[in-house]
This record gives sequence, C-alpha cells and structure tokens, in this order.
Amino acid sequence: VSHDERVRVAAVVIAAAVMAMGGWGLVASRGMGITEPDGVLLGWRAFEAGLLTLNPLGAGLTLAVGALALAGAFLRRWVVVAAAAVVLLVMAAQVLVQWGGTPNALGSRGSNLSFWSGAGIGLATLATAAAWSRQPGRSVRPGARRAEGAR
Amino acid sequence: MGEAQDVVVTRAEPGPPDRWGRASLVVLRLALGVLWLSNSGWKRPPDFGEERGVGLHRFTSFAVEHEVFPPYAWFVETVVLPNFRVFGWVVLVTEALLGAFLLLGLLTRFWGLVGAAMSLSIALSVLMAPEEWPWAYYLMIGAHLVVAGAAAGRWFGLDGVLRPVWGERRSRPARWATWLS
Repeated sequence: VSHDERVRVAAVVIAAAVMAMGGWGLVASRGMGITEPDGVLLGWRAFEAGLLTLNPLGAGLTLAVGALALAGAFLRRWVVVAAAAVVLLVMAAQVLVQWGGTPNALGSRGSNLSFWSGAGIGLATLATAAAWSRQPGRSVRPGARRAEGAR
Repeated sequence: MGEAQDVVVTRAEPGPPDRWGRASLVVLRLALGVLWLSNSGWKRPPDFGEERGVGLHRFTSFAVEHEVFPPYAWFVETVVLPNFRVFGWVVLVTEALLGAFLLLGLLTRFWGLVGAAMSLSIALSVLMAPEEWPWAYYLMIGAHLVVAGAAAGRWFGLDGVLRPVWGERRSRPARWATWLS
C-alpha cells in the first residue's frame, strides 16, 4: 500500500467516525428543539462512558462536515478535507465560548471539544501531509514505515 | 578432556510487537482516549463547581482536606484554589486534548507522558479521599507510561502514517514530531 493511500485511508476513518457520531446524534436528538442548549448525551452513562452531547443542529452539522471530509478523502481533494477540518475546529471553539451558558447553539459540552478538535487536527494534519508529499520532487521512501516501526 | 569451545552469545534485538501486542496497544490507547474525552464532559465552565462546592472544585479541594503530599496540598491551597477558574480552564483544555491526541494516535509519546502527569496530579488530590480506590490511579499512571513507552500511536494511529513524512522533511517541527511520537 502506497503512503498516499495510507494517508487517504486514515482520513476516511476519521471522517467516517465524525459522520457516525453525527448520525447517532441526529437519531438520538429527534423531537428536541433544534438549538436546545443541553443536548442529548451519546454514550453509556451507566458505564461512566458518556461521549458527546448534541442537539439537532450540532448533530446535523457534525454529519454534514463528516460527509464533506469523506467526499474529499475519497476524491483526493485535500482542500475539501482541509475545509472540513477548519469547520470542525470552529465547532470546537464554539464549546469554549458557549458551553455552560445560554445560548449553546450546538448543545455541546467538554467532550465535544475533545472530539471535534481531535477530528479537525487529524484531518488538517493529513491534508497537510498529502499536499506536501504531492509537491514535485517530494516522495516518501517505500518501506520507510517498516523501518520506523522497528526503531 | 574435551576440546575447549568458545561460546558466542549474541544479544537478541527485540522486534516490534506481534499482532496481538499491537492490538493490545491500540485498545489501551483508545480506551485512555475515551477516558479523557468522557471526563472532559463534566468540568463545566465558567465556575467549574466553585460556587456550589461541587464537580472539579470539590475533587480539587480533597488535596487539602485529605492531604496526600504536603507540598502539593500547600500548592493547591495557596495557588490553585484562589485562582480556580484559570485552573479549571487549563484542566478542561488539557483533558480534551489528551482525549483528542490519544484517540488519533498523534504525538503519542508526548501525550502519554502528559496523561501520566495528569493522572499523578489527580492521584495527589483524591488518593486519601473517602471511597476512592488508590489502585485505580496507579493503574492510570501505569497505562499512560505503557502507551508513551511503547509509542502506541505507531500502530493504527497517525504517528504510524505520518512518521515517514516527518522523516523526509528536514524542518525543526518535523524533527520534534518524530521525537514526540
């Protein structure tokens, strides 16, 4: 598997995780006010494994951004992946500004900061790496990963 | 009398973990990532429980009420509690980033060490508090040290994908990233 392909697969996995969380949130938050400040909790509270909280707007946006990143990764349009990453980082910033008060437009909490910032940082890093390795004269040595793993 | 023979002992170089070893490291890293992601969900700004004496403020106060290590208790009493909102933001952002980077497997050695330090800090606050199980915190510290020491992000993580790119780049950030991953 080429290095470019590994970068693409990593972006697809992150984008799919974002989409899955958005889809889950959309189903779980049905019937809730679209910008309800206290979103529905995804996860397993009984096992102390609560994940994100989302209202329908937060869930819909997460799903849409995940779909955008997925399309970009499939089509190798890294600008699109980078744009999705920027939106995710803006959504993470929303948590810092609005969580704990009203309005809280996306129904988010601290866990959303972790998830959205992680997805944004991951996609941005992969888009940057893909763009760098596509420059003329740049290439990642075949087998470099195997050598790295042995260190 | 037999002929004397030279016995040559070669030191076997340990190879990378086998399939089960890699899978175990991935599961451990992801579990720690979910731990921090989940627990950054109850540190609620802007007061982080200060006004009602609940949440993060309550657990931080345990460092003084149920002292574990006197210098740490002094630090919490004289520096942390009087500036609690600043401390709350630092904790929230650090824990959220721990969740993010451990789930990604990005700069895993660095974030594994940060996780161990955070676990130690929590242990020094709550270890002697009622109904706490000290071994939970020893295990947390140990698990983060394993993730950092084994560079767990190199398998099914972004460190494994990006280290070859960083290796080709000659820039200082790339060298740092290689070192921290």
